[in-house]
This record gives sequence, structure tokens and C-alpha cells, in this order.
Amino acid sequence: MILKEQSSRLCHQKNYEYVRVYIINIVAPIMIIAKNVVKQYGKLVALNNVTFSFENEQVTAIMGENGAGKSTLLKILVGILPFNQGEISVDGFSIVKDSIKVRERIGYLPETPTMYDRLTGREFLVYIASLRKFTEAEPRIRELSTLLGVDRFLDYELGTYSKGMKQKISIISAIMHSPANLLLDEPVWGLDPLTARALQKFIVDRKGTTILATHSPQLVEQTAHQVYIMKRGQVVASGSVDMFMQKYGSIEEAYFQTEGT
Amino acid sequence: MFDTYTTLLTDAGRNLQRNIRDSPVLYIWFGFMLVFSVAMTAMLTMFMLKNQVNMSIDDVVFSFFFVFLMKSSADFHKYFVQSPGVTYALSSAVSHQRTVGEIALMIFWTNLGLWVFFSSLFSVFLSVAGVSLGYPIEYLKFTTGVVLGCILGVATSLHFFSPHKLRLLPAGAIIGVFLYVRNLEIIVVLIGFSLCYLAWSVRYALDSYQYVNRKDRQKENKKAIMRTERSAIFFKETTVLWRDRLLSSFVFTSVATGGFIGYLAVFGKDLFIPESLRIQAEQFLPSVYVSLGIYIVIIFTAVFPAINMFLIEEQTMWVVRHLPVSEKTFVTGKVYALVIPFLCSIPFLAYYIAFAGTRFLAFSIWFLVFSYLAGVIISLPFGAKYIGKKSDVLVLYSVSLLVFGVVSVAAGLDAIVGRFFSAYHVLFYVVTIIFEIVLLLASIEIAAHVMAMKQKYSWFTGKPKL
Repeated sequence: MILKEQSSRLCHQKNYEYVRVYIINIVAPIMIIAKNVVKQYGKLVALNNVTFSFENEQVTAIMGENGAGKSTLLKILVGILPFNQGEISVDGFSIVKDSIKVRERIGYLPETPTMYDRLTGREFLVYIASLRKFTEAEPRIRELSTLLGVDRFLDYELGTYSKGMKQKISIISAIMHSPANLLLDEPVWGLDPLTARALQKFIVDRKGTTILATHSPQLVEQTAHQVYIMKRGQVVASGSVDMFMQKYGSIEEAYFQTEGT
Repeated sequence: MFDTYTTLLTDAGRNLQRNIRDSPVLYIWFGFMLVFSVAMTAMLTMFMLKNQVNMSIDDVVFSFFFVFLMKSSADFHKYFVQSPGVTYALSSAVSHQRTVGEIALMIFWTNLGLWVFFSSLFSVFLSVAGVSLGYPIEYLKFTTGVVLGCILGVATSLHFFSPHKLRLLPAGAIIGVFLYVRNLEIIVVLIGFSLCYLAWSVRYALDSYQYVNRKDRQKENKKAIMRTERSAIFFKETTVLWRDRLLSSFVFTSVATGGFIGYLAVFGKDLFIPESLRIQAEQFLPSVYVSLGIYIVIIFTAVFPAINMFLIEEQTMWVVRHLPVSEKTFVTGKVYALVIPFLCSIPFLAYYIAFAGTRFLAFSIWFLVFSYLAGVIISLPFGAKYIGKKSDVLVLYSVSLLVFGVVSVAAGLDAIVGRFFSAYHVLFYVVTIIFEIVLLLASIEIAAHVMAMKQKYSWFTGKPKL
């Protein structure tokens, strides 16, 4: 499916970047690679020489205790946070040398969605769409805001939104341009059960690479193909969700067993 | 005992320590600027004392009162009205009045500490310059003015952000009496009244805590309009400035300053300058006034917004950094947005001309444009350097002083050109503005580079990313 999309892009846009991505995709379908990444906050080592690979058309979950380095990893992959050592590439582009191209290919939901309080929800989303040069924003905002049940609040200032409403606006900003790579930090945080279920369905159905940082074993079981379990900046276990389920019976049990060690 | 008080003080202290550790050289420079400006104020005072300038001490007392009133109001808004962290203290077993009282106490002691520090430094400079310091009553008067300002500032902020604005009336009455009767005994009595007023106000503190109107802006958003990157940033910044009512405050600043400076240009000589110096003062005083007025206006309309547009991105850095927008586009969009505050500074000229006539019109227009551009040129790299670090008074103040240095040199050059090469005066104006436009482009590049460097180098170790 992705190959088909990319070949049609090739025909229409004749862009060499897509040729590059197309070739990379055939050779290796791994879209995001983080190799030997080290991140230090002063003396505290947040990520200690960790390596990840996130495959195309797969949902990968990252679990771990508070302070394990999940959000730090996502921020580094998006290019928000500089790192001390290692290599990161997204769709074959280096995050250091081609950061703009990397940012064009991702959607990101932060851990705490702080936005501009004086803008309305609609103004914020249009601002994000304008900076992304995403021209079909209006129908997409209408569609997604209705889906997430936030359409009637779109013209209120963001400063007056509740936690869950801000989370919904932030989710729309991350997914409205249908990014190839989607990075979600605690996506169901603050959401009502209906919206959380709709979001889970969206994650399962979507194409491309999806990375979830979450504490919810249920979300991992229902959406993810792969899982990494982190502790103190290191990966203590990784593998397919099926493998963990077979071995431990549930992701929750797998988490307790591996984190406990 | 005093848990909220000590926690807030510790937090503020550690915040300052962290900033100093992050940028020690700049903070030494900023500290130097502060000491330098106190020294300059002391020198100015000495000059005024030696030349027997007619200046009412009560006016100066009121100015200090007003400055501390504004500062403690802003502090209370920051530490209480808008602070999510206070929720924890408010939800504890400690009474709300006590928690708010501790916050007020922290603001009071911090501001009084600042007053004692700077006034002591000022006194040291004066004594070094050989001025007698035998003015205990005057010092007491200043201090009581500051104390009154701090107390009323907290109470004013508390009611200003509550839906019950009528509770502000006692504050207005106290300020009115203070303005009308300014002797020491009355100020002491007013302090007693304002303490009672504050104690009464604290009972209603929760009316203003995180007080927000759920503002529906449906009429303004009938259709989502897509924009180019730069115009999207321009629109966002201008909308925020407008809705924070900053644009109207810029217009007010330039109108008030224009009127006041125009008044001084007409009557200032007779008000302040002793008769023996009036003939000499006539030569330069009006141009000094207009320069000073323009400097005050551009500090509010150019320097503060230019730096704050970067500093206040603190919590929204993820928006800026995860989008496919280059640093240069980001900075340029913000510079576009500064065109509106510039337009807000133009009323200064109209009001000044209304009082003082068109004698300095060409100079005023040039100096306004020159100073505005200088303010933006200097502010951009500093804003980029401290992006996301909250509004920092020290940075704002130091950059303002730097701008003062630059515009003073420019005004001096203008005087030289006017005296020796008057035929080329217009050419001088045109060349300096073109030169500044080139510098502005360079400043945008530097600011973008500084922002990019912050991304490429680890913020904590200073080592480059591999």
C-alpha cells in the first residue's frame, strides 16, 4: 500500500526525495532508526546508549517506569531535544542534517499539550496547518474535531479548555496532515472512554510508523505490534506483543516481570 | 509554619541560580549594567543637587510608589492568580487566607529587599561622590512610599482579576489621598489603612484565583484562512498581542509619553532648570526631551515585545521545534509582527507636535524609526538566546540599557552632523536608516543562528551533537 502511494507520488511530483525514500523502503522497511543514543541532563543519564528501530506499518509501544526515558526518546526523535551521542534517521533522513525534512514527515503529540492560551482551538490548528503548508486543513479539522467531540469548543480560547479538550486539539494537530510517522506520548491521557476508544481504532487502522509512549498495558495489547520496556534509560526487554503475551499471559504481567528485575 | 512562603522563596532563588549557572558571563554583564545604572542615577542626583534643580521630592516619592505598586501587582499575578502550583497549597489543611497571606508576605519582603539593596547602593555612590547623606526623613518617606506601593499592589492585583471590580474602590481612594496629601504622617496612616484593606481583601482571594472568562470568538472565525508560514506567525503574534490588550497599552504609552514630553518641552525649562542655566539649557533641552520620550516609547513598543515574543515560548517550545519551519522563517515572522507595535508608537509624534510644534519634526521621525530599528536589532539575538526562559526582568532591563547606549551615540552623531555638516543632514538620516535595515537583516540571521545552535548543542553539557 505504502509502496503504491509512493510510486504514485513519484509519477506526479518527480521529486528526488521520494526516490530516495522509495529505495530505502525497498531495501529496509525500517522508517525510524535510533542508534546508540545517549542523552544526559547534567550528571543524570536519561538515555544510556540505546538503540531502537521502528518499522513501517507497525505500531511500537514504549513502556517503562516514570523517568525511564520514554518522553525524552520521543522528544529526541522529533528533534525537540538535542542529544549527546548517537545517530537518528527518519525515512532515511538524518535528524541532525535534515531536520526540516524529518519534521515534515512526523506528527507529534507531546506529553503535556501546552498551547497558546489566547488563540482559539481553530486558530491554533490553522496556525499549525499553515506552518506545515497543509492546504486542506479546513475539512480535515471539521472531520477530526467532530470525531473527537471537540467541534463545539473550537471557537473558544485555548486558555479556557480542560485537560482533555487540550489533549484532543493536540491530537488533531498531530494527525491532521496524515503523517507517515506518528509519535504519541501518552495519547489517551485525560480522554473520556469514548474518545479513547476512537483513538485506539484510529491507531490500529492507520498506515505508516506509529510510536506510543504509554503506561497503559491495555492500550499496548489492543494496538501495538512491538514493545520496548525501558528502565533508567536502558531497554530491559523488547519483542513482539504476541511473544510477550505467549510468555507472560498479558502485557501487564510482562511489564511487572521485566521491570521487577 | 510558613511553608508556602519558604517554598516560593526557595523556588525563586533556585531559578535565579540556575539562570546564572547557565549563562554566567551574560549575568555578570547584566549585573554590571544594573550597578552602572544605579551609579548613573546617583550622578544625576548629584548634578541636580549641585545645580539646585527645582524638583519636587514628593513627585519622586510618588514615582517610586507607583513602580513598586506595579511590580508587586505583577508579582501577585504571577505567584497567585496565574500559578497552577498554588493549587496544592490551597487544597491543604492550611486556611486559604493564610496561604494567600504568605504569598503576599513573600512579595512584600522580596520587593522591600530590592528597595533596600538598590537604595543602599545608590547611597554608597552618592557618598563616594561627596554628597552629604543627611536626609533620614526623606529616606523614610521614600521607604514608606515603597511599603505602601507593595501592600496596595497585592490588593489591587487580587481584585483586578476578580469579577467584583468594585472592591478596588478603597485602593483608588487610598491612592487618591496619597496623591493629594503627601506628608509622612499621612503616609504612615495610609499604610495602616492599606494593611486593613489587604486583610479584608485576602478573604476574597479565591474570587481571582485562575479567574478566566470562557471567551467565545465564533464571530471572528467563520472560516479557517490558510496563510504562508511568515504571515501565519505574524497573525499568531499579532492576535496574542491584541487579545492580551498589549497593543492598546502601547498606544496609551505613546500617547501619554507624547503628551508629557510635549508639556515638558514647553514648560520643563521653567519647572526644573535654575535661572542661571536656562539660556544654555534652551539650546539642547527640547531635543533631549524628545529623544528621552522616544526612548521610553520604543522600550515598551520595540524592546519588550521583541524579547518577550521569544521568552514566553517557554511551554510552547514543542510547537516551534517540531514543525518543519526554519529558524530564520520563525524569526522573520516575529519581526513582521513588530510592525504593528511600531504603528502604535507613532501617536507619540502627534501628541508631541500638538504641544511643542514642528521644530524637531524631521529629527523626531528619524529618531523614532532609528531607535525602533535599533531596539529590534539588539533585542532579536538576546530573545533567541533566552528563548523559552520566561520573561526575565534582568534581560529586558539590560537590553534596554544597551539600546540606550546606541541611541545616545546616534543622537550625539546627529548633533555633530547638524552643527558641522548641516547640508548633509537629510543624507545622514537616509544613510543611517539604510544601514540599520542591513543590520536588521544581519540580526535576523544571527538570531536564527543562535536558535539553531541551541538545537545542535546539548543544552546541559555544551558538547556538540554527533
